[in-house]
Amino acid sequence: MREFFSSLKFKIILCVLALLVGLMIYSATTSGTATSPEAILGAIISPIQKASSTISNKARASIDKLINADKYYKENEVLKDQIAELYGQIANATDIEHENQMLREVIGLKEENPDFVFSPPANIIGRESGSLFGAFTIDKGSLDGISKDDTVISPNGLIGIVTEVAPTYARVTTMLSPDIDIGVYSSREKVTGIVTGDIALAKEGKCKMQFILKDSDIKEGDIVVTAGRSGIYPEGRVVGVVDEVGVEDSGLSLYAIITPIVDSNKINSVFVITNFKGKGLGYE
Amino acid sequence: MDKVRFTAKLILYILLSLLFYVFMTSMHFTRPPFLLIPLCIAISIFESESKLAISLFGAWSGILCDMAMNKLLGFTSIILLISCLACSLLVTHLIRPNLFNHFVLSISATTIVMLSDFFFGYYIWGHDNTFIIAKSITFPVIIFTGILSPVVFWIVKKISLGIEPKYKPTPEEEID
Repeated sequence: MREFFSSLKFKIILCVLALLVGLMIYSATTSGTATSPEAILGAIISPIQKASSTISNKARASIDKLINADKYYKENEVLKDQIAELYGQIANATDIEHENQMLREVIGLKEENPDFVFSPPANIIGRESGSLFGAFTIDKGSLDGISKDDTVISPNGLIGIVTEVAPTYARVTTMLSPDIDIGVYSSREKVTGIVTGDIALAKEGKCKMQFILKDSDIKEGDIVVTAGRSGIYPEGRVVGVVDEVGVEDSGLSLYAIITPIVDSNKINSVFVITNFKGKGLGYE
Repeated sequence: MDKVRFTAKLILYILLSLLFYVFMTSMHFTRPPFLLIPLCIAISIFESESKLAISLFGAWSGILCDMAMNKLLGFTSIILLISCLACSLLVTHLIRPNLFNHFVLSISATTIVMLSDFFFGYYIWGHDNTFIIAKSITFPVIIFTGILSPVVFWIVKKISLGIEPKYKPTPEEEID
């Protein structure tokens, strides 16, 4: 064994170890931009991941139908009851008018936001292993105009933000992550707060809205949208629905548990907003 | 000819590592088995004579793990490089290259990787409820990886021994 430790091979291994430490330090300083080894590997592996992802999604859909048949039957029964209830609401003109006004405020389509610049639709080609926060990799990168901190959405609402970008792929962190903070307000009474991830809630696919003023009128069922004051997220993108409201342990403010409008584990493609009016202009 | 055989084995191992990486990232697993770790441990056991090559392979597997887990590039590489080197030294001087030892070494390496990830990725940042990460992700990944490590051992054994030249007895030995 002593000969091995004094051999040239061991010295080469030590050099490789030093190189890896240097790579780690370099990677830490360039957070947000993929390092060259990552970019090259990602470009090579992406096509394989795309093919594997397609097969995996189809298999998952088939298995899901078999396993969750009972669940879908129960959901169907609940939805039928909901439809019956909605028919009752049709008779009430005031309820419909109020509902329409709320929907106009939260729906952020291209016609209402002509300043949005979208990337080409991106497919999800890989998901972060060993994580509760649902982060994923998309098959579009800087060559498609995507850059770090671009907002990622689906037609239904906000999903997250681009946290790392390479020429041919990008990594997206969802709102379930504690590293993401989103300034929001409720569409009904404009109650403001910050949506961020919580490890305990992330396990259930939910997140937390905090720093809500104690006398705010926020309740279960309220829809929460982006405030657009940080310059990172455009205003008016639907974030989620309030599930539960409670008082913080300090007693000084409220919190709300939010169910995201988009379940990142169930989608296969997303849009990235590469530019919008007010991007980069934080509230002063 | 030995170099050609070893190169062929190395290419197969690299292809296997890419397959395991795609498996880890394409499936909708919250707690996927990290098969790259038992893979490089198994290669350390069967190719223990080529310490430089297996150390580099450990670093390569670590880079793939870092990309799969979206961690700092180089973090897992360092751990796996040292683990592979240590395993090959153990097999050369101390322990036998069998399934049980591979299982123990794989579990140990996976535990070191996952606990380091938990500590540096979650615990030191002061997030609430980090024990949920340990309970939901860290320990299940270690267990699932351990359960599937014999499969990886068998695959690497087939590759390693399959490409080795078959022993041909000399005519004198045949007569004896």
